[in-house]
Amino acid sequence: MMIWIVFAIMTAAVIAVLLSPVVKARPLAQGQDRNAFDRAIFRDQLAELDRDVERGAIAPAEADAARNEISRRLIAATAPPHASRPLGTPSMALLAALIVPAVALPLYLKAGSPQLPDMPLSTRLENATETGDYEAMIVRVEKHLAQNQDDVEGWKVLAPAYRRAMRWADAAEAERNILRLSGPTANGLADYGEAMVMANQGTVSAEAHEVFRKALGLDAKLPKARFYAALALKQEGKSAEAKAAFEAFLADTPADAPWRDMLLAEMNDAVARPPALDQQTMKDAASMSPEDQQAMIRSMVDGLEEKLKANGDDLQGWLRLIRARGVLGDAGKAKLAYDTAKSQFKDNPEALAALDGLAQEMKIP
Amino acid sequence: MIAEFGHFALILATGVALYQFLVPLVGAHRGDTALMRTGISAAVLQLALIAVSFVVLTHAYIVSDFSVQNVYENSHSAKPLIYKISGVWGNHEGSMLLWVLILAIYGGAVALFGRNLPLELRSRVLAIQGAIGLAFLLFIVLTSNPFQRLDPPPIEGNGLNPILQDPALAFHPPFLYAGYVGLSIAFAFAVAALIEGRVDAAWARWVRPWTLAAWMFLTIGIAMGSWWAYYELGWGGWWFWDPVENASFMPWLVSTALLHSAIVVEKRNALKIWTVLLSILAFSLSLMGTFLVRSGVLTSVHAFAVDPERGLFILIILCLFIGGSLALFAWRAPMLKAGGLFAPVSREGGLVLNNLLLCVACLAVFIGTLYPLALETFDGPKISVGPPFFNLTFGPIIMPLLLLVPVGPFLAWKRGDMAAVWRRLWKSLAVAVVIGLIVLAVNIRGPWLAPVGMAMAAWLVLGAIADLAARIGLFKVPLSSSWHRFTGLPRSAIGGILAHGGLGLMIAGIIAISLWKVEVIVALKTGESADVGAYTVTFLSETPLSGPNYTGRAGRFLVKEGDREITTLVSEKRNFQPSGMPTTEVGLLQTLLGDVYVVMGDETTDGARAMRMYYNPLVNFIWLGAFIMFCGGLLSLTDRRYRVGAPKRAISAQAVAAE
Amino acid sequence: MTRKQKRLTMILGGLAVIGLAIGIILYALSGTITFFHTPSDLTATGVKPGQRIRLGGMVEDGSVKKGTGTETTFAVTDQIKTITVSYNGILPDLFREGQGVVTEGSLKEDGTFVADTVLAKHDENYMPRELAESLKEKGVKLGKGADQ
Repeated sequence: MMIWIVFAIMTAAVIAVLLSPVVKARPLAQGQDRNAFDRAIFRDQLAELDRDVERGAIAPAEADAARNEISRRLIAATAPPHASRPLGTPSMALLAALIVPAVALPLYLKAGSPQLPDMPLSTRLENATETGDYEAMIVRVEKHLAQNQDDVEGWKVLAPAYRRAMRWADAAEAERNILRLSGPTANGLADYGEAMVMANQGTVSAEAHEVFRKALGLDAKLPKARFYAALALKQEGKSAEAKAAFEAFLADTPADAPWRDMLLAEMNDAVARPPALDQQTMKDAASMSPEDQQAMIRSMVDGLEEKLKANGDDLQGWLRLIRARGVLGDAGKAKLAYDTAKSQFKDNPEALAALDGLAQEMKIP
Repeated sequence: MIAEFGHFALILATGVALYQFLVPLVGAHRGDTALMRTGISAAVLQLALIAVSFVVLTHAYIVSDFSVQNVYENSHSAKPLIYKISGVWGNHEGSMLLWVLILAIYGGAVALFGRNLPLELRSRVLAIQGAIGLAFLLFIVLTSNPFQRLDPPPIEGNGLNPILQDPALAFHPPFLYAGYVGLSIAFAFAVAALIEGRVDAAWARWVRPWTLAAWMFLTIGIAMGSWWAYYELGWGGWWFWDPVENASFMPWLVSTALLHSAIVVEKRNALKIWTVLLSILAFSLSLMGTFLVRSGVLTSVHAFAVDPERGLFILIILCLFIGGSLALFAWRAPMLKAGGLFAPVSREGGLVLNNLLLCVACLAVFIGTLYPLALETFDGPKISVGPPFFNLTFGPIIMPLLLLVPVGPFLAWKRGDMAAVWRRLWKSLAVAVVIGLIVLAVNIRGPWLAPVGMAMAAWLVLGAIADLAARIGLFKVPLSSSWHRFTGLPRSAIGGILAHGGLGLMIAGIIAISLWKVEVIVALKTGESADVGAYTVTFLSETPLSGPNYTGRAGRFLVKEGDREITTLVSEKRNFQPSGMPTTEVGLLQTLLGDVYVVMGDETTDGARAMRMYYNPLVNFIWLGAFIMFCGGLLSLTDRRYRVGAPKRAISAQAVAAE
Repeated sequence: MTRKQKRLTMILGGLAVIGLAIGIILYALSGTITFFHTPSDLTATGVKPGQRIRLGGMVEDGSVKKGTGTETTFAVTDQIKTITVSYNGILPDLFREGQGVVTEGSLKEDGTFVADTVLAKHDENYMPRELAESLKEKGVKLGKGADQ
């Protein structure tokens, strides 16, 4: 509301200034006659000529010729002034001034965003806590930590914040700092490893696997670490070990544990790794001959490829596709998928890094 | 709230522009003084409103308000303050806002300082200004709105192209725009004259200072752009005949012609129709310059807004203003009475030749710039027109003009006397020829252009000196009265002499760097050296580098002349975050006689680094010359002549372009 | 000279200057312009060795080889044909594999291209216009959603 009052005042002020000459209009005391302007200039030219002659800057003969010419023009410019015209009616100017709001209002309604407040960075950061501005709070803590790298409390605030914002690489960095400052704990290691996995698009790197092993060394029953350690085994192709690890984990998992569903899904997935299949298909696949199984998997991979062609923004999908092609031994198609994905995400360095990482792992040139 | 305030101010300005376009025109037609005067307040209001919105946008940049999309896209909270400010016009939307701001400043200046103009003429000029403003304001609000908001606002901006984070480039657009847009005044005066069907003496007096202001800003703007290209792009060149450069050079050529023809209108009441046409052409070319850069239709290393919708909008603006004014010209120009007569050999004749050559030179640039585009539009082969074309055409056309520059000021009005000119100039000519011969002797195997070019540069400078000497009667009258005459000289005369002399220095620089540049491309390991001209450059060391928003490598180079150590240069390769964009920082030793220019390249297979080094003789004369030309223009502008002209001398408002 | 004669001389003189200038421009246009080609139409149009042309395309991935000193060779491709380019000098900052490039120089007898000028795109969004269009004509999609 406030803003509309301001706009109304602005508009009124503009119209007032615009029309001020109409209100205080008086007949022109001078200059009604346009020739008067010309005469003034010709007189000035004559005066300049005289000065030039006095300084000796111009030859007398030339000066005379010039003087003649200017004088001729001066005389020519002494035509009688026009009959003075009447002043216009103020009402017309008033009417015309309505042009201004008539143009401005619809344009502003089309282009403006009167409801949006200003968001200068500094006030935004200051008021972050009051307004619950999550991004701003993160920046505040980041700024603080840039100065005090050893403030573990700060990192402890940041780590979950980064997780919530899905900034996994930053989250991993924060967790690493927490470990550095407060020593390794099973939970801390597991969180660090998880952030690394997430930053790596769901792939457990060897480094991350090592972290989970350490975590399990501190607490062998820690669910998160167990889950990812099993996942790592699965991704490393050690299906039997992975299956064993998942089953042992499942045995220890209470029926109402929130991660139970995820665990079951991964467990079933562990059997036929490339593309993730739903349980019904898995059952069907289990009863097929190996050739048929291969054929089915291939057709599903092709289906995945079609889907990605239609909607190429799915990085996880691309990673799955490349991996699947690689596992199925289709080096050519894997390379093609990799190249296509690369051009797809050429503006996204994180995605490119993930793709390159996978390509290295799968030995795609 | 502040941002929306600025946005609303901009939109109000659009409404005021429509008013400023229509009402004074009607008022002038009906002879209604009240309506005409509201045009003046409209121009002042427009200036105030656009200034407010510009300040608001700048404020949003300074406080990093990323709820404004334009700030989010082009700024970053970690950027130094000066680049936050220059970031305002470092992008398409902001630069258009700057464009209309400068337009409004010129309009406001005519409104405020135009009291020595007949009211009708002033109203019509302001109305045309209003029309231009309206077109561009609509363009901004509808297609390139800098006040577009984001909800929710991002927490950090996208930064600014690192190559644009540079002082010369930061302040090159405002100057260039002041030049481009300044030509709108000459245009508005021309259209007003066509509407009225008369060209007053007051008209001629007024067109010249405005053109002068525009010309001056164009000169310095182009020079700054060229300086930026010279040391930032790292290619060792100072002018590439790039379409964007040409787009600013063409209005410069035509405004130079206009500057000279306006003298004839003022002094002799002749060449009126031609001057009106030139005014229209000059502004048309500067609109085209805006168009070429904005729409990115031309292959250009500078184009930064590739957007056909905007291009179409500007194309319509272009057709409307250029087509409209030329049609008006065809219809109304015959009504303008021809003025004084003159002999072919006379000051007027010389100025006509000057105009002719400048316009033909502009035509050559025009064809070279647009021919590839035209060919492609008609599905012809894809071609590029490069420096060889321009050197072959522009050079021969401009050379006779350069020869004639010193002659012109010595020719009398109406009927000149070549013998008298010869008497006053033969010494300068002789000295210039001797200089040419010396260059020839020293450089006997060099290109033939070297002695000719140097003689020509000397001829220009000596001609300017001879002009001054003749005007103050140096050695003909006692020195004290020479001094007296000097102090009494009109400033516009001194300005003209400076501009012609500056041109000479510039030509010397151009000839020297074009013909005697030494380019060395070599792979060096640390400790190795290479000879560049008279200097020896040793690659001392290479160290990693980290700046506020970039990392990279810095190479250090020792420059020696013979056994004398001159200085240590640093050339850098930087990688800017977050874009990962690489840039090169040139190691540059500047001296008046020439620059040593070192660029560090990539690593080679055997662990050395590729280096490109130049010795650029006299290169700084180019910018020095341009600066002197700028100063000449500035001095001319302060001439008392432009302050008189109001009837009864009641008012002595300054007729100086506001800056 | 009468007034008419004076005017006539001036007009004729002016026309002569303009005529001469246009002559120079036309002559220069026929002699100094360089044609732009992509690798595939280079072979199709039969450009002779030694003729100065511009060659544009993408720098093929993995093709950039630094020689000794400041020599570099790389391959320019339009996905249909590929031509090897050799260049002695410093490559522009933005020269990268897989990015657009325009080179100027001439063909050698053996079918390789010797460039004396290499232009790379000026910023993230810039691609030489003639290059973008040539590649588009040949069905090479650019930018997002490109699936070869």
